[in-house]
Amino acid sequence: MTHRERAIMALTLQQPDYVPTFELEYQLADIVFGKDFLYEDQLKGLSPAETEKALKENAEYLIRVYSELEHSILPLHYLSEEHICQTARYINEMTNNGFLLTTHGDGTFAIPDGDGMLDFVYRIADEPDEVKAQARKMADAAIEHNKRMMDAGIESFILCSDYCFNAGPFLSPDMFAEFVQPYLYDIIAAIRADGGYAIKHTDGNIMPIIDQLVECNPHALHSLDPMAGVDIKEVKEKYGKKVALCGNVHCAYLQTGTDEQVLESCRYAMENAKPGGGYIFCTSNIPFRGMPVERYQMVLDYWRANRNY
Amino acid sequence: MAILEEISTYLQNGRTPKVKELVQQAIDEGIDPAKILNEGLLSGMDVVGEKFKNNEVFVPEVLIAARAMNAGVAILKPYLVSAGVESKGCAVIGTVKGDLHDIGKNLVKMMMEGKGLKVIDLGVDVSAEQFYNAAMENNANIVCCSALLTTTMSEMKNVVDYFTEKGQRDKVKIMVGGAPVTQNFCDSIGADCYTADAASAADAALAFCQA
Repeated sequence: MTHRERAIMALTLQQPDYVPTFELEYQLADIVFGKDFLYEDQLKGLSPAETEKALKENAEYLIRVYSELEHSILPLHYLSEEHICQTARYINEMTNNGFLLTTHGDGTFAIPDGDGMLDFVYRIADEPDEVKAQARKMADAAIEHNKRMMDAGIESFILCSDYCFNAGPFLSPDMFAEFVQPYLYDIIAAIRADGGYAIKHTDGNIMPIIDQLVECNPHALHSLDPMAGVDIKEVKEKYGKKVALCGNVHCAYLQTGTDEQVLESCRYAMENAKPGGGYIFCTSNIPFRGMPVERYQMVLDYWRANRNY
Repeated sequence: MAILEEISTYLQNGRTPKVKELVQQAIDEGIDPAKILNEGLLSGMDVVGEKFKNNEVFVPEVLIAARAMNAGVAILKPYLVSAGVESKGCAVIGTVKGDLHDIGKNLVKMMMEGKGLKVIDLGVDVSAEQFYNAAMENNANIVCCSALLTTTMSEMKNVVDYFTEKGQRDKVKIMVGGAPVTQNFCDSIGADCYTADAASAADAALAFCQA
C-alpha cells in the first residue's frame, strides 16, 4: 500500500494496513535533515533554468524528508502558486503518485489579528451584508485556486482558517452559521466534486460549532486540540462514522511537558481514535521550530510501535 | 434608577448611539457621574463579562459592548475628572518578548477597562525591562503578561525574575495567560495568578486592586 492509498483510506473512513501520519507543516527539517525547504524568496533573480533546477532539488528533498518521516500526506508550502504546482508535478512523477499531496485551500474568515479584529467585529455589527459579500468572494477565489492546484496533481487541501480559542469559538455559533459555515460548505463541496479530499483544521475548542463543521462534510477534522479540552474519545464516538479524525497529540507537551505526558497523550489519541479506521495520527498543531527534536521523534517512535491494525 | 438600567441594557446589546444618548441624558438630569459609570456602564460590562465566562456571549458581542461602553465613558470623562473620580487600579499589559500575538491580550485589556481599571497597553514583543519601567512609571498594581507560543511563554519567567532582581517583586502582582499557559506553569515561574479566560482575568485583577 502506498502512502497515498493509506491516507485516502483513512480519509474515507476505511481501515488501512496501519494508521497513517502526517503534519500540516514540518518546521524541523533544517535541524533534523540539514537544511530547510525552499522558499519563494530564494528564487528571486534566478534564470528559468536555475529556477527549474532549484524546484527539482526541493522536490527531491521533500520526498527524502517525508519518506524518512514516513508521512503519508506531503504538504507543499512557502512557494508561489505556480511553483507549488510545478513541485507537485515533479513529486508525483518522481514517486509515481506515492504521496497524497496537500496545500492550503481555505477561504473563510479566520479569527482576525490585532487591530483587524475590531474592524471585523464592527463590520459584522454595522454592515453584515457587505461582510457576507466579502465571504462569498473569498470562497469563490479559494474554489478557483483549489481547482488549479488539483489540475497540477494536488489532491487534498488543508483548510486552515482558525475559528476557535481555547475557551471556545471566536464567533458565536449563530454568527458562525451566518458568516462562515455556508462558505466553508461550498469550498468543501467543490473539492469533493472534483474528486479531492478536504481536511478542515482549526485550533481551539471546536465543540460549540462541531456540528456545523461536520455538516460542511470535510473528509477529516484536524487538530482536535487537547489544550482546548477537545476529547478525541468523545469526538470519535459522536462523529467518527461521519468524518475522519486527525491529531490530538498534545503539542504543548512536546515543548514543555514531561516524556510521560507526551507518551500518555500519544496513547490516548491512538487508542481512542484508531479503532475501525478513519484516523490519522499527528500532533495537535505542528512540529514547530524551537521544539526539541527528540520530542517529535518520541511521537514518531510511539506511532511506529502502535500503528498497525 | 431606570435610566441607569437602560444604559446597562443597551450597552449589553452593543447599541452605541443609544448608550451615548442615555449617558448624556443622565448627566443632564444631574445624576452623579460616578453612579452613571458604576451602575450604568460598568454594571452592563459586568453582565457581558459573566455571560462571556459562561459561553453565553462570544468575543464579537464583548467587543461591540465595549465600543458602546467606551463611547459612554468618553462623554462621561470630563465630568468624572472634575468630580475627582479615580480608576479602581492600574494594570500594565503586554505580550511578552518574541511573541507578536495580541488577540488574547486585547481581550483582557478590554475586560479590565470594563471593570473600571486603568490599563497601560505596551503592545507586543515586550521585554521584561519594558514591563518593569511601565509599572514603575504608572505606579501599577498589576503586570499582565500574555503569550500564545510555547516557545515564548518562558519569557514570562524573565519578567518575574526582573521584578525580583530590582527588589520590586512585592509591589506588583504578576498575572500570566495565553493558550499554552497553565496554573502549573504559573506556579513554576513564581507568578501570582493565572486565569483561563479574559473575563476571569479582569475579575482577578479587580480583586487584587481592591485587596
